[in-house]
Order: sequence, then structure tokens, then C-alpha cells
Amino acid sequence: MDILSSLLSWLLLYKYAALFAIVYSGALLLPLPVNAMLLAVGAFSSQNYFNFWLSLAIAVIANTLGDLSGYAITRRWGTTVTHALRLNKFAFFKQLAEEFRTDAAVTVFTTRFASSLSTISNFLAGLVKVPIATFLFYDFIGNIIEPGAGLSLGYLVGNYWNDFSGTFEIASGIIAVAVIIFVLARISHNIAKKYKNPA
Amino acid sequence: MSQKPKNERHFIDWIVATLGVILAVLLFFFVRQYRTLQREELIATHRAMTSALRNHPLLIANDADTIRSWMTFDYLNGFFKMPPDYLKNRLSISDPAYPKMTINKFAKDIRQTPSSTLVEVQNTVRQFFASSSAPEANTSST
Repeated sequence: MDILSSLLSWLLLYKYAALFAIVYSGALLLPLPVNAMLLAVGAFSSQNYFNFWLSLAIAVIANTLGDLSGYAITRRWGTTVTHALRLNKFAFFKQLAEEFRTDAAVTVFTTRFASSLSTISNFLAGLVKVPIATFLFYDFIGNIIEPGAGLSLGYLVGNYWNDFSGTFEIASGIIAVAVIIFVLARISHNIAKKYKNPA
Repeated sequence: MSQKPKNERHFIDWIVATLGVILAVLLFFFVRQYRTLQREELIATHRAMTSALRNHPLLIANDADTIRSWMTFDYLNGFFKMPPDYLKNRLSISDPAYPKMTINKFAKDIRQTPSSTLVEVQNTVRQFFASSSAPEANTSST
């Protein structure tokens, strides 16, 4: 039985508790097919097995708490780990951290749509000590849009969600790669700007 | 000193270029997947059926094909609007966890393969539709 089938079984058995646990674990670290699962929850909502608005609220809260946990872990222990791994010696890492700090709002918001990059972004935000209010605000806004899109699409396709899950996964991948390109291009642009006009 | 940022930029540009290629590949697969769905007339069928289903949520015997072994009996009862004990009686389920159990769990209980149990459940649901016409099945449960 594949992982999505197991998740869907738990979802049907434990409903909102399972939804919370899966979304939270996915946001924190585990590479779970959360997007496909949200598509299914949207479809279950159209069949009145789940409540759409309650599912959306739980998904947003779980996602935000998962992101916040990742942020808190690296904010507390991140410096110790980077020193131990000697990451702070790499110029690229330093530059990335600096750019993240100065461009926190855009980076936090856009990386919400970049699947597993959002986890890395949470860890990095904690590490470079992005103000918690900034992180929480942009994280929350992004988290409303992302699961909201998955749930709504699932609700729209209803009983046929399974036929559309492949297309949805590819579309999510396209968005994720596009976001990574956007973030990196911005960093590259900022470095070039500093290179031209060193302050 | 000024060489460092230039090197970093080159590194980032390489990553961006690689990701650009990945993006192009993903777009290719996306278009292919969409065309497959179109060819199978799933998108057109879905558009037509969405409005029909919203207005007349009638299920037909063929919908039993959508049953999967990860589904719970509780979900199936609700989805097909069957009486809560219909599947329990027809499949002689004695597990006290019913209806909060999956078809996989039932297959394990009766020491059968999930696929054969799935077929059995699908046939039982089809029989439900056969024994009473779909509209009657829907009205009787509401």
C-alpha cells in the first residue's frame, strides 16, 4: 500500500485529527504528499464527509504551527548546528542568510508555494532570526492560499479527484520550481546590485 | 575580494538555469497530462457532470468502480447512501470496529487479499443498486 493510500485511510478513520497531524508533519519536515491529500479532503467535503471550512481552518493552523516549529527549532539551536557543521565558513551560505534577512517578507511568502523548499525556508528564517511577527504574518497569509487552492480544486472536481491528482501534482511541481527560480534570481540580482554599488 | 560575489552569482545562475530546464520538462509533462485527460474526455465529462451532480446527486452502479481498498465502510455507506448495516450483513462483518474500518483491515481479518475483498465489496455495492433502482436508493436513505 503506497503512502497516499495509508494517509487517506487515516484521514477517513480519524478525520480532522489525522488532517491536523498529517499537515503539521508535512510542514515541519516529513516529505508527505500533502497536496494530493488536500485535494482528496476537498473532494470528501463535496461529498459532505468533511466540512470544507473546518478542514481549511485546520489545514491553515496545522501548516502554520508546523512552519513555526521549524522556525523555532533553528532559532534556538540553528547557530550551534551551523557552527558544528562549519556552514558559517561558506560565503554562499553567508550571502544566502544575509539576503534572506533583508528580503524576509517576500521570501517567506513566496516559498509557501514551493512544497519542500518552504521547510528549508522555515529553518533558514529561524537561523537568521527573521522577526517572529514578520515570519508569522507572511507565513499565515501564504498558508491560507496554498491549502485553500488544493481544497477548492478537490471540491470542484469532486468524485473525480483521483483522475486529476497527477495533473495537480505536476502543477504543484511547476509552481515550486518557478518559486525557487524567482527566489534565487532575486538573490542573484541583489548580489549583483551590491557588487556594482558596494555600500 | 570583489571576485567572490561574482562567483556566487555564477553559482546561482547555474542553479537557476538547471531549474529552468526542470521547469520546461515539468511543463511538457503538464501539457501531456492535460491532453491525456482531454483525450479521455474526462475534463469535458467532468464539466457536464459537475452541474448534473450538484442538482441531482444520483449515483449509479458503475460508481462502485471508484471504490478503493483504503476506503472505510463508514465512508462507503455515506457516499453510496446505503443503510449503515447493509454491507455489515451482506459481507458478514463481525469486527466491532465496523463501520470505522478500512477494506484492507477487513481483508486482513478474513485472511483474503485486499484485491479480492475489494472486488467482493464492489459487487455487493452493485447488488445494492440492482436490488433497488438508484433513485429509490437515494430517496430511501434520505
